[in-house]
Amino acid sequence: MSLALTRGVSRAAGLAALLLVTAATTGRADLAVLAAPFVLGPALALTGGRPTVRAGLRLSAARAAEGSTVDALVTVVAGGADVDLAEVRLAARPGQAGVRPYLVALSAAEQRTVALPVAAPRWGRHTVGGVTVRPTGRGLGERGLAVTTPGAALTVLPQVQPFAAADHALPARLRAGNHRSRRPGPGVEPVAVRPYAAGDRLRQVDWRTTSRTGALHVRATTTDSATDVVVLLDTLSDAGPPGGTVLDTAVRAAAGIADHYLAFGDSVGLVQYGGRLRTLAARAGRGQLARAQEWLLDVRPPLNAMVAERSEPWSPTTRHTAALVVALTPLLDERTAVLLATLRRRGAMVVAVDVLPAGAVPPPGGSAEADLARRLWLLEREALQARLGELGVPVVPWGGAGSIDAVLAALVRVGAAPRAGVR
Amino acid sequence: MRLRPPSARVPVSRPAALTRAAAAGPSAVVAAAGLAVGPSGPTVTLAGPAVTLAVLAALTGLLAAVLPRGLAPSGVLLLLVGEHLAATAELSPVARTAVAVPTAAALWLVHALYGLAAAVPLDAEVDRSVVRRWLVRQRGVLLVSVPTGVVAVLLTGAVPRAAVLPVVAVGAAAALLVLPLLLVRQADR
Repeated sequence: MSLALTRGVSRAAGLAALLLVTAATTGRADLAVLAAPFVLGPALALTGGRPTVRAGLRLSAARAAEGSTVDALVTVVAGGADVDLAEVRLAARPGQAGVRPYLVALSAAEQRTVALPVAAPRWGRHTVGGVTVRPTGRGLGERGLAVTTPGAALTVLPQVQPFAAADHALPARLRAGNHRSRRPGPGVEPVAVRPYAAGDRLRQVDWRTTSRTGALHVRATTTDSATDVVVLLDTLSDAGPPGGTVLDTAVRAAAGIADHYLAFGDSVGLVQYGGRLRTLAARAGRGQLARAQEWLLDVRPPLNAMVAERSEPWSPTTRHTAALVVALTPLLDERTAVLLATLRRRGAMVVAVDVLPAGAVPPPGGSAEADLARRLWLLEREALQARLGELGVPVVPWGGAGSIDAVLAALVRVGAAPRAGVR
Repeated sequence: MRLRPPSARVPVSRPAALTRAAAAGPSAVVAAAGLAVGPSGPTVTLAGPAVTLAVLAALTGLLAAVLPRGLAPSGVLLLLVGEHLAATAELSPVARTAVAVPTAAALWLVHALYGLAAAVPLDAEVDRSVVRRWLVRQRGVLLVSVPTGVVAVLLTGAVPRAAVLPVVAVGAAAALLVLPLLLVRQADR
């Protein structure tokens, strides 16, 4: 078997030979004393045998949130020889932060588990590793063959951007929920005291008013209702710096919106518009949040402009048009504006949330032509937003908690008004 | 969904840059000091060519500390050997052998420190077990090999036995105590 000696062993052996030859030729016996460690050291290293290792990789958690840390647990098992130094190095992948290698020593047949902290990268499905382990044998004398393990799958869930809309009574389907509505019916929110009518329950009787007036009175309440929310992700175009692109903002915002409304007992559905059309049927319950987060992991922009051009059309159903549609869009493609206008005409309450990051807008200060083009583009964008506003689709920039609250309140007022003229 | 919080790791390692500095830095110091001071004493060697040699050794040692994987460590060791030959030229065989014992230890430590520095990547974290095992190895090599070298010299008849008998006795005792450390499996986890 061929030897893979380190430079240190070669240096020690060479120096030992030089010292011994000099001692023999000059009669300087003290040089033999100098040579002794340089004879024993390499001999000790070479008798240790060639180091071999086996390695395995697993993660402390298969799922993590953006910004959190998981441990890559690397199990290193030494073969029949001592391993005085094993270099454990996790392969860096594009978009992932590098992890510093870890050095560990093992006796023959010993097993050690090394935990390397890995920062969870951007949301999505990732592979962490693999891991390469390079062993060096006894006395750092001989190098063994490096072994490499395959990578481990890591699912990174999108960071839930904080979103807190006030409790507005959205146009609700007749379903129990946590939103206060104006519809009279069984609930906990008292709105009036009225004379008893046939069908009223005994526990609704307001005894104080009844005793004062002498006639039976009951407390009238409004129902607590729920609504459908459809979050539309416009993936026709993507822009912005890595980690803060349109898609990143949209996905994190969608997770936040879904989390908020599902907590109120509403149904939340998701639609990806752009490239391949994907939908997640609207459902209620906490399980839907997990389904939504899983669904969001597979949101991708079209591979190229041709695919974007041939994006599958979306035909909204009646359920969609009866819902609150929150469109997360950078408004970079007119097809999205047309779709939102169509949804509004069919009766849906639509809010367009502008998720174009500030970094995606080119700053002024370039050439005169570039500045002119920039101004024209901004004017066109403003005009598009104004046209959408005229059609009843307010456009608000995404700003996290409460950023679309005012718009939702306005929409509630609009929704409560008669719909004459809106078709 | 409740997610796992960021893990808290127990710090069990030290930055590799520190280890490398700790490994290679003293080598340069030992190399320079060995040449500047020398076994014959500072008053004899700290003048003229010795100072030049010391500066040369310090520079070589520094280069070796920065590039432990190159040829500089070999240069440092050769300089030390040359200095030992020059400094002990006028001494008796017994005195030379006595001086050779600490010189051999210093030479080996310089060599081993450069070897460790070369094996450690700059950006690595080093587990304690690596440093502990390295210390055990070097201690074992020195405590076994140096007395053995002295015994070998004694057996060749180059040095009068009576003159080095105490050294041999101490060395043999140390070797007997240390030998099990090299043969028995390390239990330093």
